[in-house]
Amino acid sequence: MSNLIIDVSVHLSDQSAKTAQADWDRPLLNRVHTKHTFGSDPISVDEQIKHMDVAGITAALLVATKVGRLGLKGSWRVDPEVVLAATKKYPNRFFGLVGIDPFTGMTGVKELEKYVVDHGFVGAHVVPHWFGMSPDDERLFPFYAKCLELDIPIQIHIGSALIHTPSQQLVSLASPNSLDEIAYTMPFLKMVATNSGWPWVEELVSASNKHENIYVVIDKHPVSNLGWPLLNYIQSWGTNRVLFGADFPSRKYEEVLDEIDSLNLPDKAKPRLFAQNAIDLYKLPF
Amino acid sequence: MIIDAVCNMFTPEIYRSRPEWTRKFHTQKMKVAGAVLDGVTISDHVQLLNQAGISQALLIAAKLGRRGLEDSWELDAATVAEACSAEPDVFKGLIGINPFDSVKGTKELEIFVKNYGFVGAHLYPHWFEEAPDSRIYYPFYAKCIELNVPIQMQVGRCQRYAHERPMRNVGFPAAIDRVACHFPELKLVGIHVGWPWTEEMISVADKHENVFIGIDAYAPKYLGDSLVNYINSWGMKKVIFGTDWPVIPFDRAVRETKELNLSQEAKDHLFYLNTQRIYGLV
Repeated sequence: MSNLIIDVSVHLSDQSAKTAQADWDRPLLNRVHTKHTFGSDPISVDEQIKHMDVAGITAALLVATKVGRLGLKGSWRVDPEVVLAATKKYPNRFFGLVGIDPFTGMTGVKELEKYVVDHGFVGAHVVPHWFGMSPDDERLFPFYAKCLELDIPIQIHIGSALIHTPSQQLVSLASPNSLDEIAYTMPFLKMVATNSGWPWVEELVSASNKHENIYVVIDKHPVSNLGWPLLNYIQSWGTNRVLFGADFPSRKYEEVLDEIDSLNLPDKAKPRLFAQNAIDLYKLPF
Repeated sequence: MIIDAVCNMFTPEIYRSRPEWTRKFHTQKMKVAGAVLDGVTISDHVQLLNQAGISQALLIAAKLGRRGLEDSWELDAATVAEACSAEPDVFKGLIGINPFDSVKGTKELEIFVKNYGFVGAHLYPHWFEEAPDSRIYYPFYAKCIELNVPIQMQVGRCQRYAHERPMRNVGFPAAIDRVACHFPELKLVGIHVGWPWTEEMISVADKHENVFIGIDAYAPKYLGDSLVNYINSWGMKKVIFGTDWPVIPFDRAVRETKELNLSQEAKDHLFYLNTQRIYGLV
């Protein structure tokens, strides 16, 4: 068990994803991405599995991404059917997360239910700032209620927004404190905050510590750069609240694993971070 | 003399370019009927105005919603500019505002006012899902002051246009009050009466020297005693006539307005004196 590694937040980088992002003329991201081994090359699902095999990644949660309002330039969708096909081709390697577009209302709520109940998706995923709203916007609450009903966690992008495309200037609306607002009326909703909440890492640690159902994913930003409060949270008081994510393919798995290795995390924290917390939270068959 | 301060272009080409909800909205909700539904050419438009005794109309280069979203639509300002140059004695342009155009939009506003003789700006705040006092509009308000042109914007509730995309009411008179406090020099015309907050709209127009009310888009016979009294007395210089044609037919708007219990002085101000003064038409 101790060798299991589960990446809880992976967005598809196949040809269709790269095509959909064609007009992402992203000055900031391009600057960041030039460091990437993969550049802007597409990575098929099969290739992704190979990368995971080499790095020893047991399984990944694959997001049927929905970002941006339909019709606006630069908005991007991953068809849940594509994610479903990947989970069928690689059972117990990929698990699906349903992306949420808050503007789809009850149609979206039904879609969420369908992919969880009929197709075994293990959770939901939303990026509120791509829709111009904060995570505690009322329009998201029907989705939160459905997640509670289905007893699944929802991943919420927390932290600053980037300008992916000049046609959609995304305001940074996703503060960790908005999760505290949600918890006020949805005390049992399992919220999984991604990106370590940067630049509000401490605020996220505080929210996660206050509410036992708020989790932190350390994808995207190298955790060693984020300061002692998060590091301390991972190894002591928040051992069962932090989940591993690599933000593949923005970063190579090996690079991320090496970095975490260098942190010399205590034995009790490591397996929880890498796998056990995800297995418990998402009820994965490991 | 009569001036229609709120008027749309409705040529067959424009009508065809509008999204699908338009026809249903006009026929079922607004009860627009007759030949107008096939579109009205510029010359027929002028003739309809003349028949109703209207000598001038402000044409809106309307912008409805963020570009790209289903059901959004906008009328190219150049099309309005062409109509204005074809009938310079009848038509003056109003440039629509899309707050997401940002500085490109304020530039467009400036170009159409300076180069094409547009006499004001027009805004549908509900189509952009933000109340009139949202900061996203403030650069446009500032530009209107710089150019010394009025802005007209819908106040009161909005309709449900495309069934699948209902919009929230954002045109509260209180939001206009806030804008007027921040921009005392801004000439701001609350069009579409302000109903169901007509009384509140009267209070805001009375409070601020530069806030006015347009009585378009509603059949004049339903304006209500309070507003008619305002037009007749303390608000004689504050209210302007409009149709939002094709929503209200020109002849009906004129006939019903004349049938209101208004003094001749009040009628003159409502029909043209106020619009001339506010929009600098003479």
